[in-house]
Amino acid sequence: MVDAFERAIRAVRSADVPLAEVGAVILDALPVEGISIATFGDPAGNETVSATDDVASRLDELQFDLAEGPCWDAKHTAAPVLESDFLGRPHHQWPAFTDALRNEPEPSVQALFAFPIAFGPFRLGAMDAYEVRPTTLAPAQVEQASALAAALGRRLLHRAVAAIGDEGEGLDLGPFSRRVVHQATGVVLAQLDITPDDAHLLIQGHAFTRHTSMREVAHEIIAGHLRFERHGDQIEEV
Amino acid sequence: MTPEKRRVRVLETFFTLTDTMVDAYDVVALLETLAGSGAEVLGAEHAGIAVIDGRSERLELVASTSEDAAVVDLLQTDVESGPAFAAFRSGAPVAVADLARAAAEEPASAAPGFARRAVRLSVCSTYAVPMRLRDTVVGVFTFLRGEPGTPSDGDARTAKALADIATVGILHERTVRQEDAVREQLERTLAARVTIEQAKGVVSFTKDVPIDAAYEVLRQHADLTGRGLSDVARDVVERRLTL
Repeated sequence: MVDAFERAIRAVRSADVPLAEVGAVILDALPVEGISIATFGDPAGNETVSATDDVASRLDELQFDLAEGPCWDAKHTAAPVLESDFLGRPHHQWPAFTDALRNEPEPSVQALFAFPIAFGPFRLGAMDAYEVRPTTLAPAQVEQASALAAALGRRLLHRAVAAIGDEGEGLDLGPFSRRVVHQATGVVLAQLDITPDDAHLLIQGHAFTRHTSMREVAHEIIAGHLRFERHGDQIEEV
Repeated sequence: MTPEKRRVRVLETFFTLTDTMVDAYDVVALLETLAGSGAEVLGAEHAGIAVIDGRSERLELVASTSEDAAVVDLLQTDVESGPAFAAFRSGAPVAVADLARAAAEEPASAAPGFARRAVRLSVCSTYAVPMRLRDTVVGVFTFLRGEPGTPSDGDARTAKALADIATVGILHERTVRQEDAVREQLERTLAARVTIEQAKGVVSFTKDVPIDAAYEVLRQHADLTGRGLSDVARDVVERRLTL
């Protein structure tokens, strides 16, 4: 039997399920009212890619505008932010965001959870979940939500680098350049023991965040100037 | 090389190639052998083979006599915008007898084109032969020569035969009746090239050696075990084999 979590993980990993629909599949797996998935700040920019209802997208919008809130904290700390009763017994301080929520026409959000979305060293955004009454997530649920957000990292980085299009990387698609990129992909997959696709995406992510070409990044990797190491679950550059 | 010696060398080359193709062979290794033999019998400094990538509709360099970045870069320019590209587009061989003159005619203000880049690497003339399958051009075999001039009729025929072997070598695994099958086979050839490049990177890291040396390690292992280079590369990339 495939449970809701398993289905959600598969939807996140499958390129056949549009990102906009992924939020709804994840919602089935978590005991919350609504979910939003967003990139914000550097490097991918502010954008909600999936929201299961208007409140969920409004939460993102407020946090984008105010540049504070659980999603920012989750991204910066690379750890989940769990506010089971955020109006009654808050753990974090978001004065502007809290004010704004209180002044919403129908203040209905009581519990807020944010899970960081990242791929390797690239912190891209967060998955926000809300509930209309104070709610505590069980450790297993936090773990599952974190796993879903982590799996979203690959999807969102793909999306971000695809958004700049093949045009910007046009010269980079030349076979010779790719030769170097493929060689660097081999180096990175050996450094981190990951798949060629993920290694390629890491190089792409680097080029994207640094506004340089994949070829440039590939040369640095082959020359040993840029190296990746794995520390526990974290991939770091050295 | 005397004409007689050259004739013998050409025959030896064809014997070796046909021997290879009777048994199972690795297509990328075959193309590299072809490029090497082709350069030798035509007296070229460098040679390269590019095939069309069905997805990007661009020529992809798949074999080269040199791993040197400057040479590969030149071959790349050749297949993207130089005589090799012209041969691919027209379906007929293209010879440029005097690249120094062609370089002088390139607008000085623009980024250096094929001719100027070629002259910098002491390449004086070039000959590019389309790889044809009936009405379709599937790639190009290009020769960069150290002396000016066009190839003799005999050399031109040899070059065409080598280009034909390259085409057949890529496509011969199955009877090709449909364009899909041709495209698929070309893609497999290119994918094999990608895997080999990735494997070079893996070995370069695990053995802490430069990319060129990593390639030698891969080839030696393929030779020693009698396996195809692409198979070995795939095992390395999938981390089933550590060299």
